Amino acid sequence: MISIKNLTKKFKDLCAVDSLSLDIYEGEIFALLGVNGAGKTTTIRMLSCISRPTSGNAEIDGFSLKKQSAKIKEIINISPQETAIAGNLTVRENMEFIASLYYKDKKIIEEKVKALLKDFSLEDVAKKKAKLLSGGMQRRLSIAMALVSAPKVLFLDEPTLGLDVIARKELWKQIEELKKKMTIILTTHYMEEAEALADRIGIMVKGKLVEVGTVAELKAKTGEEKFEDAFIKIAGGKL
Amino acid sequence: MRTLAFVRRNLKEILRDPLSLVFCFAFPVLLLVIMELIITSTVPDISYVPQFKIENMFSSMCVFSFTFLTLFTAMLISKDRNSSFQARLNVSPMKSVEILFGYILAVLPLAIIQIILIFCASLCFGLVVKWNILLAVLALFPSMILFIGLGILVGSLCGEKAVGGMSSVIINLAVFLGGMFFPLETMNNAFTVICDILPFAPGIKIPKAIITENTEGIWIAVLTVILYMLVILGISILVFQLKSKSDKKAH
Ligand SMILES: Nc1ncnc2c1ncn2[C@@H]1O[C@H](COP(=O)(O)OP(=O)(O)OP(=O)(O)O)[C@@H](O)[C@H]1O
Ligand SMILES: [Mg+2]
Repeated sequence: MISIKNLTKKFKDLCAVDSLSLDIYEGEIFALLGVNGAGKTTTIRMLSCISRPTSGNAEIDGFSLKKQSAKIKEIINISPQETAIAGNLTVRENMEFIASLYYKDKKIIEEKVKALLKDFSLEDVAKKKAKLLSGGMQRRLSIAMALVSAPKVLFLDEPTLGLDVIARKELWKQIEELKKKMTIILTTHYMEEAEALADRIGIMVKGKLVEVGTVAELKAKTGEEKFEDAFIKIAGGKL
Repeated sequence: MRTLAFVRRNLKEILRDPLSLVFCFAFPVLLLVIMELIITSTVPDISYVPQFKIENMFSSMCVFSFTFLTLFTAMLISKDRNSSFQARLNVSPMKSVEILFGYILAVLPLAIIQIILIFCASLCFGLVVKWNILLAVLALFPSMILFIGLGILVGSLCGEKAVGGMSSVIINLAVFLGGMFFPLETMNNAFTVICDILPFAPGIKIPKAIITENTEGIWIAVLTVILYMLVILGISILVFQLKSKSDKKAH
């Protein structure tokens, strides 16, 4: 589904993403892990056509990132690390606005919005201004907005940041549901989240992708019993 | 269609903020009313303070109200950049010109409302209405676009915190170098030269000249303002496009 080749991003003399190569398969959930500043967000921004790679390329669903970004934009969507919502619009208006960027037919827009508000339990707050929602609710809205376009590939940058335990578990369930319909690339700082959701995990250290594998594979490779310890070993922390 | 949806969103975003209503609409009108009330009751002969003649005040307050378009355009754009809302737009099939026009087209109607409100208030203080008022309003458009362009520029370049400061610099420059509250004619030469070189004073001079039917030599002012408008608009479009494609991170 996604085939990344030597993707590189330099900011002046800092190499935020260093020649990253990786294949992500259709229908899987791929988790990108790494400490703060490892380059996860930068990778996602490049793959979602927000930021131009310094060098290297990727193919998403057969389309070239460099040459066919317009085609790629039609099949991807993103929930950015920052909660990207329009604060003075109501929850429903936020959804309808994003929907109207993708669909012309009012009926379709209405149906999509209605279904997503229901799926994400946002019906009760549909008329509330988005800026008045709690942080967790805003996150949920942000993800629901990304789903309006029914993307084939969904990027979730720290989707459960700031969610309470229950909301997080609920969102996990929803993400697993989505998996049937799309390929998902997510970043997270919660190891149990990666363990619970991801089919495969990639660990980035200082812009380089150093390990890729399933939880079991990574544990076996490092000889650790807990995934968290395996991550710490790979990410270079010394305890 | 997409652009229209975005225009609607921007209008809602601005108009649902009570602060923008106060500054965009209430403040310039109030200032005009208060100034005129004070002047008419305290100054025996308005020709001592020509800047407060109603046709001057009408022109000044229109341009003054446009300066707040800079502030609110800049605030909106900067907020959208910081919250990654623009990233969402950039991921959608929307092109960056559409996004840009979405911002501009949302602010234009606000400017029209400003002019209408200030016009109504000016009527109460004896603004003489002839056909040329339409021409005067038309003559305000280059300034309007200029200040919106400045807003795009500031919003694209500044972070959310710097926007307020930068915009108030522009607002103050326009007030002092535009000769809104003191007659530029009485200032020394060097100062008036600076004022004439910048677009603020000429922007006020033009509608004023049209209303008073004293348009001699106004072409230089017209050219100045239009030139500034084109240059600022050009630069702001360029910077906006560059910034929306570049990697400016949120923080
Ligand atoms: N626009 C930019 N200009 C300069 N440096 C940048 C820019 N964007 C990111 N960086 C740098 O690139 C590196 C990677 O940043 P990135 O945001 O991708 O990390 P991350 O893995 O998402 O971190 P976090 O877990 O904190 O979100 C960091 O050192 C960051 O400071
Ligand atoms: Mg990040």
